[in-house]
Amino acid sequence: MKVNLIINGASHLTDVAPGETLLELLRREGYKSVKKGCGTGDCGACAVLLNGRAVNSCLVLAAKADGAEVKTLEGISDGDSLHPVQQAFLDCGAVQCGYCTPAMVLTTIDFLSRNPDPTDNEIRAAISGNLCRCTGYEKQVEAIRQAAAAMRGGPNVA
Amino acid sequence: MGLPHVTAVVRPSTLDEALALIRNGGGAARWLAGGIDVVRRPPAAETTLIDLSALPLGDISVSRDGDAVSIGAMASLTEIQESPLIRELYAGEIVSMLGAVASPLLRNLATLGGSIGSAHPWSDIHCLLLAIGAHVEIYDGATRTADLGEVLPVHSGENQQLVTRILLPLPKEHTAAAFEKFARSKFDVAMLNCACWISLSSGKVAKARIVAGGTPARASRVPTAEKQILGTTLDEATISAAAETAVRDTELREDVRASAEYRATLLATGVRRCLVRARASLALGDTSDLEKGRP
Repeated sequence: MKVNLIINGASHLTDVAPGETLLELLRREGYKSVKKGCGTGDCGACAVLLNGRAVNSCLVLAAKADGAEVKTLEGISDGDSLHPVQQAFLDCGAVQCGYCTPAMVLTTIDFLSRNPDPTDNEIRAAISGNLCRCTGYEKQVEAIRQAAAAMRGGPNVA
Repeated sequence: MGLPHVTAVVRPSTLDEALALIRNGGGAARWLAGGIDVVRRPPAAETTLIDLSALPLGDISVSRDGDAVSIGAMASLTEIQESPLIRELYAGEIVSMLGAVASPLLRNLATLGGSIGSAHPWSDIHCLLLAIGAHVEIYDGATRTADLGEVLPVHSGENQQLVTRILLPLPKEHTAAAFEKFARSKFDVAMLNCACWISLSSGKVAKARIVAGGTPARASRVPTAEKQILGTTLDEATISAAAETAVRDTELREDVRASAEYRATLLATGVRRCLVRARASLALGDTSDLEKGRP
């Protein structure tokens, strides 16, 4: 069956199998920032923005996303200039192996768009569906705090 | 591949079209709401998925009669959490309960209708909604209203009806609800949950519901404990007695999450906490003064 997705702003008309997941479709189409972890919605490594909300793409059938706007990490920087959340993750050393990072960044973008001035507890709750097995989450929390400040004050508000 | 047995995903645009699809599909058709359970626990016999996302079932508003908040079955848990209407209900108890259901990523996908249809025995949503007396609107060719407990789980094979909205009665004055969940971590599935709903008349409990869930069976009311608090001011002795009764009259079993003995401790603690919090929000906190003020 055919589905039409708007991926990172560009319209894609694609053939999918009815039982194919959005994760499988995106990776097949070359969006390799989207990672497969558990495949059961527990680890959050596959998160993408679906109509602006961060969701586990392993649990979304591609057919169900027909007509939706999908954003992956490939679509969030502006040319060579990084998104403030990416920049903050870089500045704070919030990346170790990097497997959880794309989804963590997208989850943060969704979160900060609705809560621009969060407490540390709210930050921890916001990334509770994104497991990181390298760090103790301290660096990510710091990065998200810094990104929030930059996005509130800076000119590069996404 | 994700679900190799699925041969079709269809997206009806009206309720009648949706109903015709599920009826003509026999046992091979299944509703697709948020999709979490469909993808995580795919039943191989269900090869046609009926995607409900084009149906007008996403709004959250005060019902036509003005006595309930109506939540469209396709509203996501996040949308419900963010709704100002829901935030106001029961001093934010519903919103705080939702805040510890799964993860934010899953709450962006999960719908209230799907959650009720899936009927997981550990459901925090089912537990609190049962306590506050939620109703569901069902479409099966005609629209009717049913008790929450009447909804048949989608996996029971009796899925030829569609939950269209969930109705939460607007709390009247002197009414309170409280919910408690016990889990290994805040976002984990509950080892046990419980809830209460209390309505006062002349400073005494006139109506009450006490619910225990994840026992590990599905949430259900404990009528004997409810009866025990009627006519009281929720004094300490009453609360302790109701907690004991709830444990005595609830069938608690062991499963992978907790032993029956541990669940008994959790239920006693949970019922006590719920009642103490309900008492506080009903300003029955200082019961000794109330006792003194009475002739």
